[in-house]
Amino acid sequence: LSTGAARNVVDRVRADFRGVHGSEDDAAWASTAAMALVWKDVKEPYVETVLGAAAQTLLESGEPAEAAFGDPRAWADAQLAWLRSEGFDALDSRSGPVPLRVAVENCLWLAAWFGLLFGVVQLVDLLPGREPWELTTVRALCPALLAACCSITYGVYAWVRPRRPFAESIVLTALPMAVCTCATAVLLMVLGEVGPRLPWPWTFALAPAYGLLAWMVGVLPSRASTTEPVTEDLVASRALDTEGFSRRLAAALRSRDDLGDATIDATVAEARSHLEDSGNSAAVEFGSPEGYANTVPTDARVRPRRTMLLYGSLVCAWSILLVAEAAEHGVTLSWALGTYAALVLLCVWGWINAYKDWRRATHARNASSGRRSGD
Amino acid sequence: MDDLETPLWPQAWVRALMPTAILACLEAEDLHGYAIGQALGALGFGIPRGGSLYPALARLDEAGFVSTQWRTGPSGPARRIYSLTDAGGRELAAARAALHNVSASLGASPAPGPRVAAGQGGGEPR
Repeated sequence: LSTGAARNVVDRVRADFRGVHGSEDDAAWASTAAMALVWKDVKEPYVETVLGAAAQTLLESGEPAEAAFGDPRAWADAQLAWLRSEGFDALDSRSGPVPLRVAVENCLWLAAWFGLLFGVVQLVDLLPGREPWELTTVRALCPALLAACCSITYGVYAWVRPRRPFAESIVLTALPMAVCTCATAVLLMVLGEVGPRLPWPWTFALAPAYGLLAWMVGVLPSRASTTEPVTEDLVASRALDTEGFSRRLAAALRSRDDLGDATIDATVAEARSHLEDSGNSAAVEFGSPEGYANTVPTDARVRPRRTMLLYGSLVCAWSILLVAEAAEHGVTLSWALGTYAALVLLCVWGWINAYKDWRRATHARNASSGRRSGD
Repeated sequence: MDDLETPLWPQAWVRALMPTAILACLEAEDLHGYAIGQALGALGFGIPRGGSLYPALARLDEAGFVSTQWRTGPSGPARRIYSLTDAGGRELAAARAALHNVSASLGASPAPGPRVAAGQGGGEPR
């Protein structure tokens, strides 16, 4: 879902819940639950269906949403698990190219967030001992350049991930990320002081300006698709032979990012041997590969393990910068040294949280293994 | 001979009892996925499609009720073989007792029909 489409779903769901008892708390609950589902790539019709059923339950029970369903994020997790267990093709896992308008809109929203960060940095620079900086043309473009770097990096990852194992995907994504980062740095150095400059308070206009641009792109009329995507998927799935099915199944499983490579290989191998035994077509036995991929239970250890890897890398990177800063300017109390130290601590905290999640998931897995071996 | 692909029981029962039926299939011997499908057909559950069978097997594996290992046969590809664990056996016994109680509370005859006996893994289904 594009940011604009997601916002429309959330707005509709919010209005539905507000209409049940006229409660703003219920509307806020529905908004959080809808965002949690959208964030997990649940397709728009399914988000509206499960929340529509919940609104109906509220109407009949007369209870507030929090009392009836508990925490909205936990409720969203439970709904997703149910959709998966029932075999619904409810997740938007198609790995096709993102439409240009959606890509530009999302990039501009990201630029707005970077603009907000620039505002925060400007506030920090207003503290005693520091000078606020003027807004040059290059600085005004910086949020857009950084957002473009992030979008390109993510786009490359999203393209590579369904095709290669996790470790290879990371290496292949790091390459364009390095190129984009270097290109941005060169651009900033070359254009450094070129163009008009504005007083520092204009920095706070960056986030609203990019947000306005993103909103304008979001409301542009888009070309209507003549065929429903679900229909396209089903038609394409029917024509798949075992090889094609295996390839698309592996791609869909990798795109989920919550399964290890061994699980993915085993799932594909098992589906292949089943097709050989049964002699039926892949579409008859498994439906669309993307739909089948969504029914494979999550391995709760995978995401925390990869998050630990990410935070571990960030801790190393910020520590290197911290040491370099200290070596260049000495270990004195400075904003730069304090910022790097804070980032190291923040990433260590993130790593510890991911480790706790990983340990919890591993204990749960070991408990079921204990049951397997008869305790 | 009945058509193994067509369930003998209502669809809602088949969906609800599929995990228990899988455990019953594995009680006598270890089986691979396709063979489990055939065994379910023989129990009157219809031969499930791969898209329903393997997610159910994965959830049983996750719960510790079945264990798996890959075995390479004399011909053909390696297969994942499923075995009933002790916890799976206990789960199956508990499910059977619960189903018996349901049947009793509905006032059914104490002597189960041949298909119910088959569902309990007690012999030739038909």
